[in-house]
Amino acid sequence: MKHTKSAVKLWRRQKKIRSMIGWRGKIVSYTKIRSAGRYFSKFTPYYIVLAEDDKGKRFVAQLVEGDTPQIGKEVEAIVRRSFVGDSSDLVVYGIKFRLID
Amino acid sequence: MRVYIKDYYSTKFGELWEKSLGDLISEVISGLLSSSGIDKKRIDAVFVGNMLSGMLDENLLLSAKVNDILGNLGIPVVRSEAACASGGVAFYNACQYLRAGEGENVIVLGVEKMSDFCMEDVVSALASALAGEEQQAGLTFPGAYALMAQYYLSKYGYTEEDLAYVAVKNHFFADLNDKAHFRQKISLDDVLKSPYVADPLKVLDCSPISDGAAGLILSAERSDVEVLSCCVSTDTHTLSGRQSLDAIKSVQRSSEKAFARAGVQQEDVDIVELHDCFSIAEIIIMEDIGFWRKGEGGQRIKEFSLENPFKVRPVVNTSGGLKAAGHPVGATGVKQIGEVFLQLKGAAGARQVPEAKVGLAQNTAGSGGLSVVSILSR
Repeated sequence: MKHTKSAVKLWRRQKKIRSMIGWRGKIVSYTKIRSAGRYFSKFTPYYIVLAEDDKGKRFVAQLVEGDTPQIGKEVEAIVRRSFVGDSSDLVVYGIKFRLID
Repeated sequence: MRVYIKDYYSTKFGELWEKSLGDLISEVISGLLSSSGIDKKRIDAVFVGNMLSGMLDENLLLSAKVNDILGNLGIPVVRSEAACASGGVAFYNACQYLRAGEGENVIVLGVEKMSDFCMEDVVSALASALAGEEQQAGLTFPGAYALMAQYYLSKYGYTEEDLAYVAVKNHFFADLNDKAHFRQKISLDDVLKSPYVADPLKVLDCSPISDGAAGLILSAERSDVEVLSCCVSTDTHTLSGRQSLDAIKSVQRSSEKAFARAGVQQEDVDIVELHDCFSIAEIIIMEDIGFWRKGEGGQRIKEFSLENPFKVRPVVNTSGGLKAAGHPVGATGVKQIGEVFLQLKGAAGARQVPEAKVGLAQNTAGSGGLSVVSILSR
């Protein structure tokens, strides 16, 4: 995950992030990650959700706001900090989900 | 050109503290050369499957390392990387090489050294086979298969207990395999009481982190076991791009092609080694190869009997599978072919399936982005 050191790579990715803000979909499947890789282990346990909109477009992201996910519930894409490496790394932002009541 | 398997050798799989990557390769090469009696000067090329040596060990150009171990023969040595199907792809490349008439005898080698590194680094390195956007969401490999499992269980009304039958069966067979990582039987209760890794998958639904190497000698010269077909197919890199979460399209594509090329059908197959990296994978893959109908796997997996293990056909994962024989990722695809070879030769010892004539091996990369299916017969 050395891209935390590449500002250009992040810049390319963030163009996509912008277009995702406010996207809504229904939960198709979800899991609770208990064991994660280096950048995410301090956040465990966390939920990962796969959601689908009414056009069939699907997206995978962490669920960070709301209760326990359930298949069929609606989520909205929001921007949140994804992770930070060591003190010299860039702060990485990405898309996460929140549950809509 | 026809392709035959002459010999197979595997190291023990497990946490092999005393062995380096090079030691594992050396053991397989000398094991193959001495058991087959073939002079190393008759080997025309080597195909190596390995995923992680570059990422974890900062160790690349395995071709030259293998050449050194072989005593600097100077022959072509080609490394393949296709995540957990690196070994299967190395086997595919070797078959293509022989079918093209480029040589007479080749070695296929799969190798991985994983236990030298801390768990978080291994989890991150394995996750590098997921698509970038899914890595950045914090998805892991167990997480990707957990998304498939959750969907499958909810769609067809199965439970975590139904999944647990996979690990119980595969541990039963691993107990009979002296090369297996875990030689102990487990119960349904053991699986159900093990801690969650990524819900609904628990520790005992998951294959372990293992060291190990396996190798084959393939030849254009006639011998007992023939490779009828070996096919590679692909699907989307992201899980979110898949047509369905309860099917792996690359497995369907590669097996359809492999059956057509081999001229055999599902009912002809006596034994199968398939990619049970997680319990749900074995169930979905059995359906996608066409042994079971879609959605019935959660029930069919219970037909296996510990009292009469060879009653059902095909018999699946007699090596113990990835779950219990271990999963040194680059070695797995080669070990699967090796297990089918042993079964067809009648050399599988205590786990020998009586009168096995046709066998199939299936090796998956990532969450299903690539699959290799090979069909062998005696």
